[in-house]
Amino acid sequence: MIASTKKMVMTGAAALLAATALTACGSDNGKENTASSGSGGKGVMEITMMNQYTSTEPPSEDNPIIKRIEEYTGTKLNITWVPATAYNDKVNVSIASNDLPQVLLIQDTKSSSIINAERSGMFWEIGPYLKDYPNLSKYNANELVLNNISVDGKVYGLYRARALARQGIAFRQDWLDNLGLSQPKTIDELYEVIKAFALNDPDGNGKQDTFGLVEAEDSGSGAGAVGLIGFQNIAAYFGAPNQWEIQDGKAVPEFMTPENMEAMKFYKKLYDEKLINQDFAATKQSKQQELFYQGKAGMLFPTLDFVITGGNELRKANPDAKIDIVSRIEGPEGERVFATTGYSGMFVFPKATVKTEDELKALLSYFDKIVDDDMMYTWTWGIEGIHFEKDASGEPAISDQTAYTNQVSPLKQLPSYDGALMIWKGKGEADNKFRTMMQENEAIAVSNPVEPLISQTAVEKGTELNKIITDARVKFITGALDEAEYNKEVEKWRAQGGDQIIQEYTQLYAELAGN
Amino acid sequence: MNQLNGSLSGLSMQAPIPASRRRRTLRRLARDKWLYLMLLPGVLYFVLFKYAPMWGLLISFQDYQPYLGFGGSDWVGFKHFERLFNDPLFWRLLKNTLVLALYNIVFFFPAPILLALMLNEIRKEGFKRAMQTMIYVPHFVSWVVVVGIAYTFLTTDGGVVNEAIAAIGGEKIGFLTSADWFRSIITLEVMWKETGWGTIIFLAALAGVDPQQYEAARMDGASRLRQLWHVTLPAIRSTIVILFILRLGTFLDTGFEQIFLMINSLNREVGEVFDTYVYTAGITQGQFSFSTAVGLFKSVIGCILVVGANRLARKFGEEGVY
Repeated sequence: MIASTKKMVMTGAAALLAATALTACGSDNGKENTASSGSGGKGVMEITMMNQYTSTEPPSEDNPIIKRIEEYTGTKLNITWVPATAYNDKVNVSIASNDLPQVLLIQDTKSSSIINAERSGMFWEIGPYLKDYPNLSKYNANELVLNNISVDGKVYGLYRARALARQGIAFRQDWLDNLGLSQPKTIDELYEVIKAFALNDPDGNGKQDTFGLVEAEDSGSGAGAVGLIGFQNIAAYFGAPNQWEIQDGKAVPEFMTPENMEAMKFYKKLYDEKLINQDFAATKQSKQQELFYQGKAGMLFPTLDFVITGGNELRKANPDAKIDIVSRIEGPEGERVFATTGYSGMFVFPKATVKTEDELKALLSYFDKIVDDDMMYTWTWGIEGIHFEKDASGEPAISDQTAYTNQVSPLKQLPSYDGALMIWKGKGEADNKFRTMMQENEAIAVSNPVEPLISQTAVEKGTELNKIITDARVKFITGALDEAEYNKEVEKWRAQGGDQIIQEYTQLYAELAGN
Repeated sequence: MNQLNGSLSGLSMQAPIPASRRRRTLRRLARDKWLYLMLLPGVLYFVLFKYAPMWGLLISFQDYQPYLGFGGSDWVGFKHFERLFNDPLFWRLLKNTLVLALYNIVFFFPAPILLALMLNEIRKEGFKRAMQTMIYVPHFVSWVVVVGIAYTFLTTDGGVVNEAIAAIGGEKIGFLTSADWFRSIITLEVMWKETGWGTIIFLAALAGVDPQQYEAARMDGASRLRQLWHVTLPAIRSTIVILFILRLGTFLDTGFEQIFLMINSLNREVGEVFDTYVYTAGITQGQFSFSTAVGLFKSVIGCILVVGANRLARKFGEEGVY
């Protein structure tokens, strides 16, 4: 009897729970319905979009910044948030099933499915419209970048502008101080610091239990993968080209240059002397950063803004830890860094969901509006009273860093410019420092000459072929291949389609230069 | 399983009797209407989710462009199959997939049977139940977590196993970065995760063994081992055979997630399999037709294996799956 009563209570509770869940859903739907039905009457435009998030959870529905954008632009945003790690897959699946939002963020802009979609007329060509929008033509009309994203001379997307020179070196400043060393300025000094971090007990615990440098594999980058996350940095210091260079009119990939071999030998030395984590080939980026936060390694090669994000995490694990960054290392060819493409993904507007030119123009005005001066202020500081306070002189300062990190930062995926190069004094020393570095490094940034060119072979086979090279590079560093065997792998790359890529790039480059 | 099969074949044998067939069929339909109703969801499931999507296989003979759709894309015949068979990677993929599949069949397939037999010998009912529940748990752990655990145990940078090896004076082993260890670790992970779950069907079969047979065997003075050999195993033999045949249907499915997470530059030569290749070519590079062709090739191999194994089983006097 008692058992059965208990059972009934349980069933009742379960039913109640289910009912509340159902009503919750119902009321949610209700809200959306009123919003969309109101769209006709009050002139509120509903925009569906798909975007990515890198935090552990997607931005919440009641995020104050989203509210702010909606009020400011007179829109209702209906955003599908997809985890960044699965984003490219989700885009390809959406394209394959033709199930598209009005605004689609595309990260892997050079994949064959995107290029095919663009060529088959799936998206609006927006290039000619950009000049009509004051803010977009300020932030999103850089000739070089437009050229980089164009396909057959046409621009199909609104790119998200990013700093051109983002890479650098982050390290434990407190360890440097403990060892009485100064920040590295040359390749030799860099090596000495890494060595001291590994062998001279920088954390003072009496044990030799740290790595100088912590590395991770970068297979997530697809056709752009080089094998190790930080390899591009070292290659740049040694004077290698940024992925490709043009020698006497002929395209030459970075991994066939002698400078690349120098950079690989540098890593090999670190590996052989056990100054770097020995399992780097099986280490993911999240694990890499974790090892840095836990004080098991003193250095890594991230983007320069890591000094803020990584610094926060590092201090959570160890409040006494200090982080700093450098970005200029003197090599045989002076100071140089690799340029990024200048953008991080782009927004496209599928014709299936954006039916008329007027709709497209309305969407572009929305994008124009969310990067005007008022909104750039919001992106930088958040909302007064929630994220920042003004002092007596009217100078803003972040008052709640956690709220800013949780509510504002993830939404910087939405606008077409993230304000990377805008320097605000109130943001603090570290923030100003990395932004100044990015600005100054644009002058020494080396770009990839074939970035705007589309080699059909590279589009079709690039990712698979690239694995030959990344694998060979990692194997050379761990000693599984010697120099001759590495060159044999390069020959394999050439035989399986690499020669064709070289030839296509050479020809396309000549055509471009001829114009 | 056995009985079910028996009654099914019984039904099909009665069916072709000609005289007043329709009336009898109707009568039988009316009689068994609840059974057919219960069958309906299963049939619908197969039609909707297994047969209807087969239509999509046709895109492996096209240059499928989503925007142009199925009707607008060009037909290209066997182009994608030619590309697959001429790909220098093809033989490596085939070899890696076959070897991993063999490891799986040889080491993993018998494991649940052994475990189920061991569980069956436990006489304390409560302990047995608790054990059963506990060994199901790993099945519900996602691959990401399993691989994460494996990393923590096996890494050379402070992993438990390597620290232990170093403590007794051995040389650290790069389990995660060595082509020699890749297959063993993959198979061990599968065994850790799925062996417990795999015992369910065998335990069900074992529960159906007539206790009188054990009694009779005991009367004849058979030891526990003899009972196992002469009573238990023959009783579940047909279950084993059927599951084996079904397993062959997915022979080339090595599982994508696990391998994708475990693979890296230093073990790719033994780790790259069809499933990971389809992912890179199809999902990340958007070559839908080509990856469909690879998938179709895999299915054809699986189908041949099932039909072959079934024939073989019947030849040896077993029931087979059909």
